[in-house]
Amino acid sequence: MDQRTEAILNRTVIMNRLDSITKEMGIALEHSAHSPIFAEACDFACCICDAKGELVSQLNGIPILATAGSFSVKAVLRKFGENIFDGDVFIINDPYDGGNHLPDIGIITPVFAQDELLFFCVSRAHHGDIGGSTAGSYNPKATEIFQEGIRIPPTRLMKNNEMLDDILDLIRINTRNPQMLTSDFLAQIGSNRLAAKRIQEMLSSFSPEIVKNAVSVSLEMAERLTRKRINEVPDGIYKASDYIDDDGFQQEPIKIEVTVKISGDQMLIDFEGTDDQVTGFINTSVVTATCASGIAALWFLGKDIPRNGGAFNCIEVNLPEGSLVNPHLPAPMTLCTLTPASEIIGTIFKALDQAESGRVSAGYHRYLGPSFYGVDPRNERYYVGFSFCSLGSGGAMEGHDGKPYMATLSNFGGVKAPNIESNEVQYPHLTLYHEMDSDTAGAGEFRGGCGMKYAFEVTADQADLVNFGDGIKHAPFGLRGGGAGSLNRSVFFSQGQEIVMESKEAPRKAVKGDRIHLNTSGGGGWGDPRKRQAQKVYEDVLDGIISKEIAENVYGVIIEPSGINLEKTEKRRKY
Amino acid sequence: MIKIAIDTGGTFTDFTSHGILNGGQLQKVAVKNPTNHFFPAKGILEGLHELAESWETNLPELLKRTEKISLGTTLALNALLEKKGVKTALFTTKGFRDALEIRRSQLSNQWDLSAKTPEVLVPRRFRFGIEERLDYKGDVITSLNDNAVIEACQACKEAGIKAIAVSYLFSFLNPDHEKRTAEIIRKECPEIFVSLSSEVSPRIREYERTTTTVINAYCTPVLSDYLSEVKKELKAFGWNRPIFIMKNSGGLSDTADTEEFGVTTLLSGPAGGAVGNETLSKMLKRSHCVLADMGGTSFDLHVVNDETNQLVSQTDLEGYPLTIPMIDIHSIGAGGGSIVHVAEGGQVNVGPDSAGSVPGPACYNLGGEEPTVTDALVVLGLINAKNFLGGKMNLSVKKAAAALKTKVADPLGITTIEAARLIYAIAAEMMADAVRLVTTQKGNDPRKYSLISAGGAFGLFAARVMTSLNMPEVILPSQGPVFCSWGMLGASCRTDLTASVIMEKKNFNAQRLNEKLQVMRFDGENYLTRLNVPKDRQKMRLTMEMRYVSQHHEISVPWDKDFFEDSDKAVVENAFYDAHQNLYQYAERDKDWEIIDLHLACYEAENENVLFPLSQSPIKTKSKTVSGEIFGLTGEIDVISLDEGELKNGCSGPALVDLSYTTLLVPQGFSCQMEDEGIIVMKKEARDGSKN
Repeated sequence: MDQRTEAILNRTVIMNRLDSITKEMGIALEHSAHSPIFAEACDFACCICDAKGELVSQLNGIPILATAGSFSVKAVLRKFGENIFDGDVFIINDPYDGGNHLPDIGIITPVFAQDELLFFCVSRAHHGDIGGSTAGSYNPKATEIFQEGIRIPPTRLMKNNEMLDDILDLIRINTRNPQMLTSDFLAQIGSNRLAAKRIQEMLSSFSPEIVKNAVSVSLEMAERLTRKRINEVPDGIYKASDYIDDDGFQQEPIKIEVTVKISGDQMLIDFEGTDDQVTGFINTSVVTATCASGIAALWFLGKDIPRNGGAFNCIEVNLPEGSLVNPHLPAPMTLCTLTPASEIIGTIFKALDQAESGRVSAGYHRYLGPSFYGVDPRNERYYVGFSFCSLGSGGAMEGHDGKPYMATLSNFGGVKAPNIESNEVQYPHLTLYHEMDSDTAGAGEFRGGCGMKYAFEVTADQADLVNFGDGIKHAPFGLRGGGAGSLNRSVFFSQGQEIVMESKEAPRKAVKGDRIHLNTSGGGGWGDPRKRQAQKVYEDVLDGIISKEIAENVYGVIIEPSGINLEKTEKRRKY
Repeated sequence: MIKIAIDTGGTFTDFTSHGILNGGQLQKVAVKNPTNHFFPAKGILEGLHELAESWETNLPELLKRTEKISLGTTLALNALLEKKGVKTALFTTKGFRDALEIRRSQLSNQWDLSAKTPEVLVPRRFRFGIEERLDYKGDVITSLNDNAVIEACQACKEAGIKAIAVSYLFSFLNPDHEKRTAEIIRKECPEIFVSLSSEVSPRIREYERTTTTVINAYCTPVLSDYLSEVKKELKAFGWNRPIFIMKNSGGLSDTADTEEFGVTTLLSGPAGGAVGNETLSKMLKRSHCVLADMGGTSFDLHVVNDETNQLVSQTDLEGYPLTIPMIDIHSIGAGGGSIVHVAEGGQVNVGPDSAGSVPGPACYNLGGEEPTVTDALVVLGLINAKNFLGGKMNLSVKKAAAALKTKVADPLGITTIEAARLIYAIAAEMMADAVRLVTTQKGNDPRKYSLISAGGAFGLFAARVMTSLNMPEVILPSQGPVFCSWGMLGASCRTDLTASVIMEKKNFNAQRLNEKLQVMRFDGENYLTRLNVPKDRQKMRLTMEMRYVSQHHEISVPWDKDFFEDSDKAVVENAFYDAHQNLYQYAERDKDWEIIDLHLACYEAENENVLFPLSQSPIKTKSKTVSGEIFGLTGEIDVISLDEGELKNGCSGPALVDLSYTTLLVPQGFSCQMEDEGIIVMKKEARDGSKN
């Protein structure tokens, strides 16, 4: 085999192997973790970074965590530099230095070939509780990050493969469920160790030189492809904006403004014009804002681009200091991975859609739902839960209806919503219904996914709830003539009272029999609804997705007991 | 007496049989026929006639001498894949009728906004919410509203529904409402097939359970029609005994069982291969085996540990989750027809798209333009273009080379022959990665395993995969081409029972476990007895599904005894900790654990099987020349044709050994030898030239 071919072969085999290792990490973590948020809902990501902290391979997990691992490793490198040794394990969560938001704790294990640092294995996972003023870490009334939980700067957690118990104790003592936190750290450390072991096995058949070369060439290739794709997009300045409902303090909406500048093979996503940082916890860390921009741009540029550092580094981002997307300490920011991350992605979609149609989707639902905590009377155990069952639906794309029951864009395809049965075993809840909700989907030639309705009753004597999210004032946008999806809504029925809840509330006390009813958004539609195939409209009526009235008034399809009236429909659709 | 096994595959239907006819010698007879897709039952009969001819008798005579017929079927699988199941409705708890469609939000590829989710098998208009509700303990909160069921039945009748799946929340803890619903349906519309989630998959998690139940409802009537037809046809030739059907679990059952639970036959064929792997492992005294099968579109792996098949409790089929015990088969898209694609960024991808059989690889000359793994093998001279499928198809080396040149070599700036070598090596390493995953992911060391090459072109890759993983040997069973069918010949009746116990360490109670065990044992014995398995041939194997109290996923911990004592608590504990450490690289040895389920495999003692030398000798072919320098082959290599005698004396690489059913690549430094009954073993030679 000639040298060139052998280089291609080695590169392919090594990158395939690294992908297979990150996959194995993810499976091990999902199966061995303890807190439901990452064992059931898979709210985590695993990746491998090179010695400089560049993202090399990342398969499992949540889009908004894609580059977070790389930022965390770079923060460790900045702090520890040459003082990183075999047998070390690092821990980090500070969103002001390499983290995305406090609940996501990164565990980082360096991998050496003899004395040379080659890789970092990284897992980032959302932990059930990290201390702070509110259990479960989401406190919509926090005004400083210090209220949101313990901040962990890049810190050594293990040395010579031994746990530094003082550090672990310091973290544990600041949280409400130290046992579970410890077990989940061990699961993360174990999953990293598995990856490190596999990398060592790989090094028995490939020299470190060959491996390093394979990795750097792969990153270069991804960069070249990304540049090429940017070059194919018409040069121009594309502007769009969207609004967050509020921050839990001010009632005025908060503006996200995005200008995408494409010139040759350069793409800049500029947030100039975005509102200043706000009081509440919807400020955004640099890591999250950068990652949101990167994943939005790459979704637009193509699914075949490898999601590694080479690709992400092509997307230049300008985050004005002191703005919502790059706030000064001590701005709180726990919500940022949901809102505004998803709205940032949506706004970039709106801007990029002007450059070229058909590559991105209409608006997705925004997250809204309560976290809940207390002692489960059935087993006397402390629990913290999140409302992963309150997902809304996805926006439509050219050629595709929106998918129902999707995570927000920032978590697209990564989160695994729990089953109702698992939920009721884990938490003292009784679910009343969980179904699609009619006339919620944004209309269009391709319609949005159908929104959901979901209600549950508290079965413990008492429980605490915190309702948070967005989208009760701003609905998922339509594209290219498509209609907007429905709004989010949440209502608290407590001892005979019916309270329509805000999207960012202080904790509430609930007692047995209290109920929460949620309506989550349908996705935005794509294209003129009058162009939707009449048969599809008819089937949507049969399936209770839309009413006959909407079929007639919005889609122009006249449905009679015997079926579609084609003649009347044709006439109706002309006007 | 004679045993017959039939494996209906996508392309071929394989018939194997062994036994003694009319007091003669033990005979082994196999027939391979194209599958009759239009009249599947007829295809079976035609094949059986041919089989009888090969036994030099006629079908009624053969059947008179036959003690057992086992059948593997793809009917249910095809109904699912081609969406040709029956019109199905779903009854769920009121307020929860969309679980089937909304799924759990996760996608296999997060970077594809337009990723498709699997087709919803029951449209919303045929999903009926029925008033009833159980709580998390299975206690009734809302009683079943009979009238709601009656009304839904009415709607089903009007809509021409043929099957109804019933899946209520928490029915796995208390099946009363589902059972009552079935009674009403059977009364209101007796012609409609009913499937209950509490019977198909009595396990927590409604999305997965409902999906499994709906697939059962959707596929089973198709399978039943076929089985009744097969029975009718066989009856005409005097066969009045049961026909045994191969299930996903690697066990046999009768048609009465599969006509209710067609979903248990989705992997019927591959399960036969898995049983064959287990049998081979015992016969050849290799405790750990990986069976590798390279087909047209995929590369399938199956692992035997300690001479025992591994089952998984949940698997994913074409995006549908199935929560029933299944043979653990791992599949990657790296078959012969897998398309090689150079991405715009320069990455080389083999699969997962496949050229299928039409148009197939470019070398088939049927209009396929995309280069495939097979094309690379043809260009390298590893596949004999003139003797493909026994000479039934002429391959075009020119077309193969042209596809490779334009689609792979030119974009990468390398020569065509280099491109072919590259594809060969990438495909081999992908297979090695897959073998690595099925062994290491379960905490096992690949160096313990014998690599069994069952079929297709894998003999060309086996040496490289073996080397990549430091495996000790490659074994080629000569029954390779009919391996799944051969496996079914030795299969036994089996049922897999699960009892939910949910017992924490602090509540460890041997008596309660023994009580659960006793109920399962009773059911298992009844099952086997119904299938005429004598008591002394009934066996059981127990595993505990365990986890830490705060975890969400269990791991399987084997239990060698068939009872528990109170003093076993510490033994159970250590077994769990060790298993956890091995799998996940950590164990907290002071933390509380719990036993979630007991799993009891009830099976008939191993049936005798015999090795099956199909072709007694390697086929003599004209020497051909390989364009050299493939893995371990350098320079121009002549293909070695050996007769059986020579192969028994062994052969050192580099060589390509052409057998009637496959070609084995023996690189420099390797040797192969035919052992008893046509089993060929390939090993690395030690440095001094002696065999390792």
